[in-house]
Formats: sequence, C-alpha cells, structure tokens
Amino acid sequence: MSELRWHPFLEQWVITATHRQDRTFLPPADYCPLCPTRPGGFPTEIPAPDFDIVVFENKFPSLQPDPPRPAVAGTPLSPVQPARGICEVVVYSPEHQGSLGSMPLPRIRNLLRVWKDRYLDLGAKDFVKYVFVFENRGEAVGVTLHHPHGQIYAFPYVPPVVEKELAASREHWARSGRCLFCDSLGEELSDGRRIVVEGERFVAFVPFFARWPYETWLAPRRHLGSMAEWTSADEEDLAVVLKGLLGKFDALFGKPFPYVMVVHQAPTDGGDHRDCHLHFEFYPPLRSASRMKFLAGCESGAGSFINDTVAEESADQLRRAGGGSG
Amino acid sequence: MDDEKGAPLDRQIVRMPDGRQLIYYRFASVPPRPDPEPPPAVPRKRKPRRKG
Repeated sequence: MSELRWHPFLEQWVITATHRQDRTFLPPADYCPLCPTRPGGFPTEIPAPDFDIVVFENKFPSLQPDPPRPAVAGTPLSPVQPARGICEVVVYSPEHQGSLGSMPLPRIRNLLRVWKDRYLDLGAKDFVKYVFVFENRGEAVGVTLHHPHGQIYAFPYVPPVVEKELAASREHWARSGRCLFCDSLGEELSDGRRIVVEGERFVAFVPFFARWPYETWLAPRRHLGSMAEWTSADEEDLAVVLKGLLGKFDALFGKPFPYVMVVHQAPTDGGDHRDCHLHFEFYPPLRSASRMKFLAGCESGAGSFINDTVAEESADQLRRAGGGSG
Repeated sequence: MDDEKGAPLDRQIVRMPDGRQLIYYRFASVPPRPDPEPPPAVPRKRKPRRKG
C-alpha cells in the first residue's frame, strides 16, 4: 500500500508506504546491496563495477513514477492521492568503507555535479514540484545500509518545512526587497561567533536559532537559488567547506558523527522563487559524545524545540575540533 | 548535460530487470575553465503543466 493521505489539521500530506517494512536492514558487508556486483558474488543493485557514482531508483520507494491507486477512499476532510514522485539512491563510491566527509575532494566535487544533474533532470518533469537532496548518516538516524550513500526525493508538492521557510522568505522580500537568508547570513558573518568553516564562496555556521545542539547550516555567501546556479568555482569551494565541516563533526567526539543532511533550494513548480537561497542544513542527533537529543514531547507534540546548548558554544567546539580544513 | 568545465557528464542510463532506472556516472580529469554565464535558476519543464 502506498498513497498520500491529507492531514487536515497540519495541512500537509502524509506518505504511507507499507512495502518499505520489507527493506534491507543492516546486512553484513559481504551482502551490501550498494556495492558493485563481484564476479561470482550475489547480485547487488549495481551490476557494473566501473563507475564513480551511481544513481538508481529506490527498490522500496515512498514515491513512484507510476504509483498504485490508493488502497483506501479519501474523505471530504482527508482526501487521498496516489504517491507519485521519484525516490533515488545516490551511491557515492564503489567502495563500501568511508563516508562523505572522508572522500577525496575530487570525488566530492563530482558528487556535487551529480546532485546538480539530478536537480535539473528530475525538476524538469511535469509532476515534480520539489527535488529534495538529503543524506542520513549513522544508525542513530535510522540508516539501514552503511555503504556511503544519500537519497533524492522528487516530490509532487513542496514539502511543508520548505514551504514555511519559503513563506517567511517571500514575506521578507515583499517587505524589504531583500533576501531573508542573505540578511540572516550577514548577521552571522558580522557577529562571527557562530561561524565554523569559512570558504571563499561558502560558509558553515551554527545558526543563532539552532534547534539541535550541533545544528549547522552551510550556504553560499552570494544569493544562489538552487544547484542549477552554482558554477564549477562554487563546486570547488563548496567541496572544501563541506569536507572541512564533516571532518570537524567526526573530530568533535573522536568517532563517526551521525547526522541528517538536507538541502533546501528553489522548488521546481514553475513559480517565482527569487527569494529562495540555497543552503544545507545538518541535524546531528548527539548532544554529547554518548547522549542523544530526542524529539520528545515538547518537540514532537508541541513543535517547540528545547536546545540544551547555546549556538555560540557549539560553534566554538566545532571550530576547535580538528579534522577540518577551514 | 554539459557542465561549466566543458566536459559532458558521462552518464550511462540503463534499466534494471524490474524496470527501475539506474545511471552510471563516470568522470575524467579535465582542466577547469572560466565559468560562463549562470544558467537558469530552476530547470525548465519539458511538458506543460496539467490542469486540475
């Protein structure tokens, strides 16, 4: 069963995808479905070994190009729609070991080119309104396969968090004629205490309003709406800042640092999104080396985050952590 | 699709037995060249949007 069910109170779609219960869960390294198929080995998702990066449609997708008809009938208050869209897996490397942050800079630059290609390709489809690039890293955030990889969801709607962010940006633009993100980033750069890694074109910082203890954002200094606008020089610098930040994450507690990484950028719905400013957001679930930050009652039920740290101290810890190039 | 470096992205698109799309990306080392004019901010749609 797979469908979109409308939540009339939060005014957002909920994706049901019961087939995902059967997806591969933490297989041994010898049976990793994201490794290239070895001669004589079991057939993985990737038949050919000679590639740098592979993108394929998820075997257990939440959204599908040709979705089944909804298994239930909607109601006037809660309509139902087919879960149309595309879910892709992006395999960063043929190598099973490693992580995005440990990859050499040329490979990270190549990944940026692939992301841009997917944004353009998926965003050009008539039913795709938003191309959502993300990575879940670590079992702490629900990763079921350890091979370095990320995902892309091509949504048939603009997801609610992005929509809320864009609404604030539109309002600020209408009021001031300026980009909300550019103005906020300007405040961060002026203050300086929350900056973690600085590049010539990109900068990583713990935002003033961080909700997670080590929440970090990464953004271009100039106003870029989407990956479609970034140039090869942007890719060069972004790769350095991204690698620098991820190196600091891993150095902070001296072990692989779990995180959720998402990219927010202009929707592909044909609308005017000049007020949108591309950026990455990282939500690490750790609040110390051994303790997790859970989305408990206040966060899940009230939608109000309680952060046990302050952004200035978290940024200082990350700046001092080794491993980064920034 | 060509990128700013002038080298086309080497994409090999195949279909898996179950019909899913798989794309192999392969990269060669190429010298960078200056950036051209920025491309459109968002991709152009291939088809007109459907009503309703």
